[in-house]
Amino acid sequence: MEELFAGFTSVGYRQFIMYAIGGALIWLAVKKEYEPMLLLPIGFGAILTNLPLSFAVGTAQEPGFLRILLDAGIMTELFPILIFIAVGAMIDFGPLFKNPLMIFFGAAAQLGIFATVLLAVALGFDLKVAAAIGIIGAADGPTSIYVAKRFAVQYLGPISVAAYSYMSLVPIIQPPVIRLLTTKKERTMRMEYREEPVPRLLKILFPILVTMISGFVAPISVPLVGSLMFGNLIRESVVLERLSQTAQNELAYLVTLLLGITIGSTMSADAFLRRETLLILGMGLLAFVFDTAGGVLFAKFLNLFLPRDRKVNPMIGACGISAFPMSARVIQRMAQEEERGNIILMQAVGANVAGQLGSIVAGGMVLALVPLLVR
Amino acid sequence: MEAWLDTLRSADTLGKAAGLAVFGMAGVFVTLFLFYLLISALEKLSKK
Repeated sequence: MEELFAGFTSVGYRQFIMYAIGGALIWLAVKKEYEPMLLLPIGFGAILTNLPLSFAVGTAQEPGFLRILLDAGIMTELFPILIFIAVGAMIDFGPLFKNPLMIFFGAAAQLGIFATVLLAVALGFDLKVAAAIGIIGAADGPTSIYVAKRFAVQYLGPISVAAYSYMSLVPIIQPPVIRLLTTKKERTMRMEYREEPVPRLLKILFPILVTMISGFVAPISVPLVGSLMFGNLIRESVVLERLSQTAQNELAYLVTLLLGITIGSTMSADAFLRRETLLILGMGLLAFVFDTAGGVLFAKFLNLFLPRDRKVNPMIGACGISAFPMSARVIQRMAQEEERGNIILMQAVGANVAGQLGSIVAGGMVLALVPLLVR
Repeated sequence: MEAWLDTLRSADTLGKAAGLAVFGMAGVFVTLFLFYLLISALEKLSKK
């Protein structure tokens, strides 16, 4: 008789909290349209995982479909890599090629990663876990998942949820930080943009040579950089239009769907309802704040050395995070609000795609350096 | 370089994190600077 009612007797209040968290993520996706492609599957995955006896997850002996997806897609690092191919096919580096100086904001805005690592260590996490938490500051979901899987698989759920949630909250997180660090005069600065065609040779050689440079500087970053650049090469070669469209659409949608529900499956009550989860969510938010501050302050520093006609609107620095194209749109909207007709969108997009490069390079650096330090 | 790493390995966790921050940020800047040089070089090459 007891077995008949196992569905009712095998859950506790912790599972109900997880249903509420899953429901909240679905609400954010449906009602607020915050990263719906990810938050909805993550939310539903969280509910599935916490249902009585979790048959969707199963056991090691009799795995359910979520465990199979986790083992096949996350533990093998396949899903993040496939997402990178899709993202690479979506990225147009053109705005960056027209204003290469923007690339340095893609570096400066990675400050949040390393500042958060220091904070996490100060709060008592070991270096590997701290590095995985810090990488939330990459503002790049696949990189966060990739690094978390290597260094802190037990926190994969909270780290992924933080990374994707805060990416969707960029319009709320970035503006106050930018306003705090800049003057009205700085925010109304105009920037000249020249519309010139980008040579095809540059577009084709760039992904190949970037992959090779990354291979020499940080060999461990090659899977990340290589897959991103492979996708970009498919796009820029022009001769593989169907493959490019497949990568940008079918591949991206399918893997995102599976990735989301699989991440949700790591959010069992036992793994998620911990003090550490709250700390990770808090530090993830700070990582985005530090990123934004790093980019803006670096732009102001750079302006000390640039000639008057080439000075940069410091808000552009905030676009050095990888949340593409959200961050660029936010900055353009702020520029418009500060002064009607101030168009800095293309420079912002340039810094934003540089952020994509910066985040995976930073991920590679973390992957390369942490094992050297904890050896 | 090896001496730096040895010093960091013998440091406490906060020291290691500081080392990671310094080397990590430097590594990101250097790598993206190489990409900057690459873009400039390719641009010149493709204009020839």
